[in-house]
Amino acid sequence: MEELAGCTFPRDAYYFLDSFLWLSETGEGRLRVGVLQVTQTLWGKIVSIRPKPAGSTVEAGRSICFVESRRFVGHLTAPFSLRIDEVNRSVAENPALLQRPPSNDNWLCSVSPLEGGYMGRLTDWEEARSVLEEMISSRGIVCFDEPPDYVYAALGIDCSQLLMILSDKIEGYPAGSLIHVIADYNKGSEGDLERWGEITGNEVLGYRIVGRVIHALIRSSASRRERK
Amino acid sequence: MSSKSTVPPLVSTEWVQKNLDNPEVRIVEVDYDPQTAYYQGHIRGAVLWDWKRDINDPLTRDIVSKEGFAALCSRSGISNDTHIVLYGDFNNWFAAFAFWVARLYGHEKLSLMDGGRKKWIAEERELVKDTPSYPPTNYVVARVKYEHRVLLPDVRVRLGSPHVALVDVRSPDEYTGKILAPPEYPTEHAQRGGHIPGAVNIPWARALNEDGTFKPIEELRKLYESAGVTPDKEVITYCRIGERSSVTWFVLRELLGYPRVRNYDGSWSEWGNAVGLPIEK
Repeated sequence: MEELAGCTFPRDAYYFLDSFLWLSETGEGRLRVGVLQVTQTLWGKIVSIRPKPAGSTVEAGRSICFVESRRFVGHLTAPFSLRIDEVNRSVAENPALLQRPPSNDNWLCSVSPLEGGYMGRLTDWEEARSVLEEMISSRGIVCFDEPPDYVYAALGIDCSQLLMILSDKIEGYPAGSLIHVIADYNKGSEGDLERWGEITGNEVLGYRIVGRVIHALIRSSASRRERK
Repeated sequence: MSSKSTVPPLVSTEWVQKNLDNPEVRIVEVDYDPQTAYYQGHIRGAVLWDWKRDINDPLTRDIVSKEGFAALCSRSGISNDTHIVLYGDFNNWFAAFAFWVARLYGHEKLSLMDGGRKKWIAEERELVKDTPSYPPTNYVVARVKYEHRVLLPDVRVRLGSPHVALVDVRSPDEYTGKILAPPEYPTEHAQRGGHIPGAVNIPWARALNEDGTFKPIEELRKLYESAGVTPDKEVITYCRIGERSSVTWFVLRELLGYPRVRNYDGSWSEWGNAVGLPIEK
């Protein structure tokens, strides 16, 4: 597995970046198809999908799945003509699983190519890497192990003040939501954030520091204080 | 009475498909976020109206001026008698807002595409990436139809009137003041939570089906009438910034034909921040 900005990429998979797909061979000429974590930033959390049913044949460039996320509506398209052999039922029930790190569980469907030379439509990791690196830096992509429900950008706020504001803000989110907080990074921000989490009961699931910015993933406390 | 429109206020994706090459029709995509919408592909021939840039005044908090709207239509190749068909991202919120603004500036032939961008895409209809350009026209706004809009002082003087129905179309948590901003827009909170005294809460989405199309007319009529929002009253719709309430304004004025419906676009981001105004929780 390779990692860029918190996004995981299987080294031995193939990539179809037009639709942000990863594909891995499962033997017998079949491939499993999944969605890349970079869509967490590009689309926001996926809220519903409508995959083409098992048995469908799909021409290259046509839709294998309709996707609706917080900020995007579109299709995942077939890189080559294919038949859909199986749709992952757990993903159909909980589509946000698709934006978790690629794994044996978080795939969308299993397909059989219907044309030869299909590898030419895909790129390998080495080739995909440079495109992804450029995309990650130009689009400010950061991945977490789970797609956030909400993004709270709090740049330009002094750290001690931020933690006060944040305690109040977090109350406005449904209990148990995942919130991606973006704030200015100062030395010691991580420690402050963790202490804040312990005091307020909000769980700090992880953070990434990119230059002078800290990206934190916070799960809002399940027990809420009563608002006066 | 309002003047009669010559085209239906709502057209289907199928209708749009059949009229792609109709020279009397101009299709306009209205987006809040063109980067993830229009620029990723749009209906062939559709021009982009960027909600923030094109439908709002660049300086004052206000909708685009009469002159600004005329210039926007001119550069979109829209004449006074062009049939404008609007659709957009986020369940047509901003397309409905643009519809309301176009009505305010007196445009007659105006339709919204039912289901918006989402339905068009879900149906796997064609999307293109090239931006069309049309020869500019001489668009003129002859008369502003102020009756579609209401400003804060006019809402205030109507408080408590039995002839007025105020409809708050935000989520129940925003209406009751439990939260100060919708979770999707955490920084855009108001100083105070709650609603305008006397307003009833009918969230905008209750007028829509799962696929983003509007519910049948009779169902819509029942939805609003059962909450006391009846056509004999002057109806005022509001939300947070006036975009979701344009959807409800559209339903009441355009689909149900209520004679007096006004959108209060100042909405909660004005009322909940202003000093000294009464609030109910």
